[in-house]
Amino acid sequence: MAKKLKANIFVYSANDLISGDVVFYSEQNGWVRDFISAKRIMKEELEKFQEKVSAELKQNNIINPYLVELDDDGKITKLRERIRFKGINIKDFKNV
Amino acid sequence: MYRYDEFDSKLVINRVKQFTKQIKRRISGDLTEDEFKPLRLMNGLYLQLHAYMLRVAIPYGELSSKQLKMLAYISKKYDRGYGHFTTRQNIQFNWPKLIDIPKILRNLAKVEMHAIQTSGNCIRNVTADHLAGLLPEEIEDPRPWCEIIRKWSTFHPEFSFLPRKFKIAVIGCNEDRAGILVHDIGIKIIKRKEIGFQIFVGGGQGRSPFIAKKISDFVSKKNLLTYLEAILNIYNSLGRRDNIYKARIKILVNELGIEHFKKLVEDRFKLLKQKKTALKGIEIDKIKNYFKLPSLETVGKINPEFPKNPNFEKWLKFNTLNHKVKGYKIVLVSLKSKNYPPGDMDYKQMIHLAELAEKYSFGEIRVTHEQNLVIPHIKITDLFEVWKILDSITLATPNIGLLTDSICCPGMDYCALATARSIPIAQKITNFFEAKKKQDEIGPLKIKISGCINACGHHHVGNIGILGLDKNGQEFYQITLGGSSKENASIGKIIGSSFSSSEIIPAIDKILDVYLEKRDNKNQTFIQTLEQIGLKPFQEALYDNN
Repeated sequence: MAKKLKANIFVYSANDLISGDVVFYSEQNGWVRDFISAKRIMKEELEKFQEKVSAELKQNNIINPYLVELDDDGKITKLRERIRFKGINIKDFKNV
Repeated sequence: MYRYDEFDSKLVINRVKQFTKQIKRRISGDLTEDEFKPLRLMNGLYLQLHAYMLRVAIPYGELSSKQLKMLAYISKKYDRGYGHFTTRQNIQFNWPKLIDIPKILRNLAKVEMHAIQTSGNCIRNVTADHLAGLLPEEIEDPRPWCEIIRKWSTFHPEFSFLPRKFKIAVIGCNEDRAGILVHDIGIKIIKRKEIGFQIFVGGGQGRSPFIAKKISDFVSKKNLLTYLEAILNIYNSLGRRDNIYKARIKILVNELGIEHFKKLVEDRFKLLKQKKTALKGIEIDKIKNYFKLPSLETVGKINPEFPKNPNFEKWLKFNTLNHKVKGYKIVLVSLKSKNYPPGDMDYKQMIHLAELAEKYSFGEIRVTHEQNLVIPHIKITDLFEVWKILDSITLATPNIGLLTDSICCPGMDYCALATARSIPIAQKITNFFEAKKKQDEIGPLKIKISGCINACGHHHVGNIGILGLDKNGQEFYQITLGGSSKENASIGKIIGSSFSSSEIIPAIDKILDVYLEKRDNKNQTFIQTLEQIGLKPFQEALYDNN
């Protein structure tokens, strides 16, 4: 998985099992909805956090965890992930 | 309308109970996500980009006002106040919580609705012409046949784990409004000495689009299910399970060739005919009885004088059709306004529309595969009142069949598979061409937009198709021209290299300018003009070839 990743910094994202909400992994508070609190993971730390997330999966609170790539300024690089982080509603499309 | 019998009710309620237990086991940790995923998919529950998504079936597009009110209730109580009508006569809720799914399904069951056959490798929700039973030229109403197929296919043990999903559509007119030639099986009701069916097989879109081929020129009514079973038998035996991209029946039909595939089916059909009981007339008639027209009274004035209002007149021109009963009109409700994404409807609109249907149309509503709604029986004398109500809830956009009435998938705004956004493109097209007041001059034209190669927005069969692509992290849009899902179905041809999101609207505008300049007369359609002049004039207008 890590071989395909281009970035140096990442956050882990997933969906909350019960609500389906987009969540991010934070070292202090577990899985949170706030992207700002998400743990920034350096490339060399990936293995350690992959193990942590695998353990979290067994606890059954989240589904579909994966790494989101950030640029060197800590911003999300991919449009898909920016849309997912921002969320969306029917009214967002008025007068695009 | 079809009403559940005792068996239908029991089946749906039992399924809700079963899935409720499965959800409890998932939440408690007794089931892992890998174990739960196929179970939730069999109940229409996906995980999308932002959240869970529940897809609810609207079999053959028929919806009662009571059902629409329930959809409004669910969207307000358990979702974010809106639903999305899809390109296969379903509705999707984009934000339900897993813990609420049992309550949602119980509420749906109360109004004879469910999420069965909206996902998984089974025979999906059977679709039909949304004008079924309403037109004088119709040979026979396709809805009873959809219901017969639904009864036969629901939880059919042999067809619950097909190589891939399987879509069937049925029409009863020569004009195809259901896109039967881009379905796994397309069924057309025809009249020879008796009424029966022409069967088409192996159509589909996605990454490998194919137009279905005729496999039988005539199948009798009593043999319809046996013939379908023969096709599915062969597909189930020979369809590929090793490669998801080659698992649809269209690939099998194309690899074997239609003659070889037909031979296999005919041999199986002969075998099955000896063993199976043919459909009995009494059973067919029983189902047909559910689909009789309501008692439409004779209306005195069929040419009433309406108040002078240009918006109403435009709506009357584009959004109403003649009903087979004199004095009535079919009203088409556009879900393609400037305000909402194509196919989206908020809960207030749902409630108002349901009340309108109760008052003026016997509580009947239809859902079209083009993401619009139909109010089937409106007295001509009520048309102005109906328009005023629709206009007050922004459901009177007068654009049915015009270029702003585009089909559009949810795209990357919602879909986990998408490679680009499609809704903003549809909205930009609407805003741009409404401002230019060009669409009336252009006339009927189908623009269809998909956010990825899976083609849920049917771009392959758009007169102008737009496919969203990801090019090194940037959204680009490929244009195809000449597609159609009508009786002369065709797959659009790629016009050239793709356009960025800022270039795509000017590109569409140039294409339309070429069409307006080159067409012989106002009645010459886009497809006819393209057939006459070819792609070259469009390419020359779009690309600098120096």
